[in-house]
Amino acid sequence: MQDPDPRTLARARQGDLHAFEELVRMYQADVYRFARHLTRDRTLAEDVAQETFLRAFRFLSSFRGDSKFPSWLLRICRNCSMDALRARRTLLAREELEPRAPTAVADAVARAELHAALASVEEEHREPFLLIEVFGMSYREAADVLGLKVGTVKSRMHRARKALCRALEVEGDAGEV
Amino acid sequence: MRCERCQQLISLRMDGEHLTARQLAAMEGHLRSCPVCRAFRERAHGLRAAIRIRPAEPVPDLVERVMAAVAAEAAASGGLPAGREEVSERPAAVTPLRPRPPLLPRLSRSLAPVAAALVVGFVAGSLAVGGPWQRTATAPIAAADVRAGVLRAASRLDSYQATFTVTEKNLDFPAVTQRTLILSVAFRSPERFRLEVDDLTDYPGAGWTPTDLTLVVNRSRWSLSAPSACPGGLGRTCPRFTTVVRDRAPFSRNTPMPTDVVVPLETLAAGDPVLLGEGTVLGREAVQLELPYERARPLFAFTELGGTWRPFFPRDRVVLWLDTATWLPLEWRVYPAPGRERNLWEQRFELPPEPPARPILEVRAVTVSRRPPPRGAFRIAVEDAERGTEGVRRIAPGALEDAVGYQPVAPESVDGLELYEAVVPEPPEPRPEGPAPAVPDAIVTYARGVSWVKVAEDRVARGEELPFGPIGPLMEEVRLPNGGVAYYQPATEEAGRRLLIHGAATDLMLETNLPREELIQVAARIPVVGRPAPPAWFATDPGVLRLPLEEAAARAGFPVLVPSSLPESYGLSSVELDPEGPSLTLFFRPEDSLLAGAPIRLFLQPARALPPSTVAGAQSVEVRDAEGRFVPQRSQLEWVEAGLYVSLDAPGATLEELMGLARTLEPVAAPSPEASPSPGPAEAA
Repeated sequence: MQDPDPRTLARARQGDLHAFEELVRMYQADVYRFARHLTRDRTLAEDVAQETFLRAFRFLSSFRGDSKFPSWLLRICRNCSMDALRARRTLLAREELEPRAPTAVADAVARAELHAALASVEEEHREPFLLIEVFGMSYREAADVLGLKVGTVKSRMHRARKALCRALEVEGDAGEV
Repeated sequence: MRCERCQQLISLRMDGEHLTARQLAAMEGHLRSCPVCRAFRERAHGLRAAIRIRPAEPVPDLVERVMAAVAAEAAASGGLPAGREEVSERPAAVTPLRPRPPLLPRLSRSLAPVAAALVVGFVAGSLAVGGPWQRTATAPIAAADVRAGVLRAASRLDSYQATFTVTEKNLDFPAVTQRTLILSVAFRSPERFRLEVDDLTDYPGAGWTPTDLTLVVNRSRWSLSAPSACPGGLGRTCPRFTTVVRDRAPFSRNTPMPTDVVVPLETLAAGDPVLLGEGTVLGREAVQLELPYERARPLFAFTELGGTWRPFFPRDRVVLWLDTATWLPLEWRVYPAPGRERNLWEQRFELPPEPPARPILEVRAVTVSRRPPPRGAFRIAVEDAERGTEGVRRIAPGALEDAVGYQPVAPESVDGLELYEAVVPEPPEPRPEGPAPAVPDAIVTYARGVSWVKVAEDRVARGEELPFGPIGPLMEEVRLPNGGVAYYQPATEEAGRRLLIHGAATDLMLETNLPREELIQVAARIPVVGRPAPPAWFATDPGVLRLPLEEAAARAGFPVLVPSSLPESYGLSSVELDPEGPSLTLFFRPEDSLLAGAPIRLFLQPARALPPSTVAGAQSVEVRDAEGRFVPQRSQLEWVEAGLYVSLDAPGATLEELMGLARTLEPVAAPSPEASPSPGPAEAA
């Protein structure tokens, strides 16, 4: 994920709403997608994304640049997602396999398979996988978002990849183990 | 080169890590001769392509919405900007509920054998047989008696089988207003369990999928067969799934064994219930208890395994009848909580108005017996596809020292529990790039009845890696009777109550489904004296210090407020001081189970005025004679008093609850000169 223009960031930190809007525009898709992956719920992801930016706005002055801005933002997003999930835990169970709008049959099948495979991977392995594979983060950045050591992210990423390869292999060659 | 190593290198390389020339050469060499690793590389790249190339899901444009809220916050000084409507209007006309039908509307297919069992099983069953945990006196029962009775029963029940009827209201209003299901449970201590749900509902159409599910736990194997959540909503066909897991970790939460239906240990461990009275259920002397749904959730764990179930409001009332001779549950009902907040929740879930006096779920025993279930009840069909493994290896306790390389620490006694199993988690993969991933060297399990304690030990990987994950703000530093320090975490979705002990030569994590006091007693019988954890183990932001309250208050440099009374079962878990702010954050949470209530966070920072609001829809309120603000979306109450910005938040809390808490805030008492501050992690630095 790209870093923001330091001048925009500096202006936003001073409370400049136009600058903050630029940041929202720049990162809303990533924040929404991450929330979408964590909550598996479109409406909830929208609420989480909004809450993420509001928290970011509120605590921007305390952002000291110890980590990169996108990592900091996704860390907030992760916290917001956890809060939202906790609040709606009962609902989640029934929405886990919420259908999406398929663009083509083949694509829908592929997506469903991938979705099912992802769902089968343990949460602690899925998160690093999403950050690295979907958001293209480095191990360091993913470790920042997740509050983990780099070594842990590396090993979880590898485990996630192995588990997914295996899950897709089983799906693909139905029956063969 | 081994395949595992080769595949790690493939992974690292894909993620942009630099490999040395030697590593590259070794990897390429291995790949040329190994079709398995070649296939892995192909699949891993294929996976990446599938993820990165597939059309991105449309992302909504949130700029306007976010900026409206941000602007409102920035500008707000009491005014109420027009926010997004959180709750839609209730439909004008709502069909009233039909009068309550008889409990068992029709005795259809599976009910006939149940009725037979009622005669044979219940009457001739072993409930009347005495046991050491039975109450002898006929004096009135106190809440503490109930807890103690359940605790004793939990550690002594060897076998159990029961059948219940489940009546559920308003699954999908108005199409399906009532369902009838049969719940059968079988248990054999310590780790054989079967739970079956048989859905007898007459659905309005053939497309509806009945919630028929089967869970079988047989020590190291686990299987669940259930309909998945319905894509496209209710009233559609939901595909069934069957999962089989082998090499399961003992009492693993990932592959749960929900035994609270058998003995409500988890439910009662989360605090004393309210006693409503005594009476007779199914001809048995019973006591009636009440507790909120959020604390009684383990009793409803069967609704979380699969299929489709109605939702419950966290503060719905659960009324539970327990047999006072055996402490086994005979009947439990959920009643809607009264109040406007519940009504709004109903609307969000498209439920009809639910009056507080009518149960929305009812579970009633038809037969309960402590006879051993038949052989074969716990059989897991071999033809089922194996889908997963939890990757633990069972080791004969006598061979543990050889397997681990040292003799693991063991408690002198575990409160009547017996040594059950010793397992070794999948060994960490060798990785020269960094420390080995943190898995304990060994986990030794003690069990009896439905009670269990696990002792996980880690000596080998003592280094940069945290052996059992970081110590979060909801983990509390506790003193053990042996003078040592430990870190306690209430039960969570993922784990039981836990206690982390950082010894001079070893690290231990104890985990149990027993109450907190029992856990601490077990820890006291372990010959390791816990030390304060190194500062790096705490999940705090850089520069932030985790301190005992008195010390934090003394160092804060501003007057510190703390609640003089907390919600029932809540306690202070940690205090974080940010010396740069300066600011202080205090965390409170239920002491027994995080499922029983949301954590409360109290944030204090010197300030002259309220910062701008960040959310549309914030309400101006008067708090402690000061102008304050309530943000419903965040369940946050904030105000400034005497030069101090105070923010109280707790997910899901109402304004009234936060106001009630705010009223109890008092300046923290200055430590008396002779009282020495208890050692905190900072001293270990």
